[in-house]
Amino acid sequence: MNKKAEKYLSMYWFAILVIVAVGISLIVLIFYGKPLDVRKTESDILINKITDCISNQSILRDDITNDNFLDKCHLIIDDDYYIKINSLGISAGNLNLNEYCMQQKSKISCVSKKVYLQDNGKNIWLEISIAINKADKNE
Amino acid sequence: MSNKMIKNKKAQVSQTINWVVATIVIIVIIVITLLLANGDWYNQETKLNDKQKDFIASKSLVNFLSDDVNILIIKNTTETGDYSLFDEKLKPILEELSYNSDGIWVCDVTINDGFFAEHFLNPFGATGKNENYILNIVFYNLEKKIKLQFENQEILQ
Repeated sequence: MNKKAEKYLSMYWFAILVIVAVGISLIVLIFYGKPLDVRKTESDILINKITDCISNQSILRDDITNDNFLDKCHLIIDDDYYIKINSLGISAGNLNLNEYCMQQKSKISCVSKKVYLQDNGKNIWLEISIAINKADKNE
Repeated sequence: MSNKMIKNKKAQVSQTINWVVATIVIIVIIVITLLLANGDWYNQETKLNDKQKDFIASKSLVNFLSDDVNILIIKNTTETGDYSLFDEKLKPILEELSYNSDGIWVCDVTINDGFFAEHFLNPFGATGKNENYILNIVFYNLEKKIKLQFENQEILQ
């Protein structure tokens, strides 16, 4: 091969190298650059923690009220959260999120789970609902 | 000399065509991969992959079995073969758990290491009686690959 051809070929190789490197970098950036939605997992963990707080060895505590719920459970929540325990009349956080949960195609993560507990000798299913906004961080 | 040059040129042309095709293939592959990476075809929700991921269901089952009355119901059921109370107590719990999580929760009751019964939608297939009970209760969810095993000796002996 003559020298002129070698020169063109080395430029060509360099161009291919750049295309492949840029392509792979873009693919990795796009794939891993997207936010991961951990709100459902976060809700599950929150429900678990709340269950531990409002019950003592499977028996529902009677000293938890709507007023002292956050303090007793050592929870600090902001406007991105809404917690509701139906049968105990406990609710905390941003009430508007509960309304958004009713809407279809809402960007808010709404999780509602039932936990089996005992209350005064009776077996009850306690429904705990969690709504987490953080929509702007998960788009 | 001129013949040799012509042959060289032909070889160079064929090599160039090879590389042009290779470049097009590389670019097409990269573009397809870029489009796939940019699409929303994969689920971005995270899930806990360990076996205790459904810890809320697990907690409910532990709470159910921490009540001595429920254990006695299971014991009496195995003794008498009357599953009405068992159905009344346990079946709604399994149904509620299945409703609340992915997959169906099933309960197996084993006595003295022998397979005794499987219970969820089907009634018990066998009854048995033994003075030295070791009641082994296993809850499992095949879809989630969760198995919760509980053993109770004190109450039943």
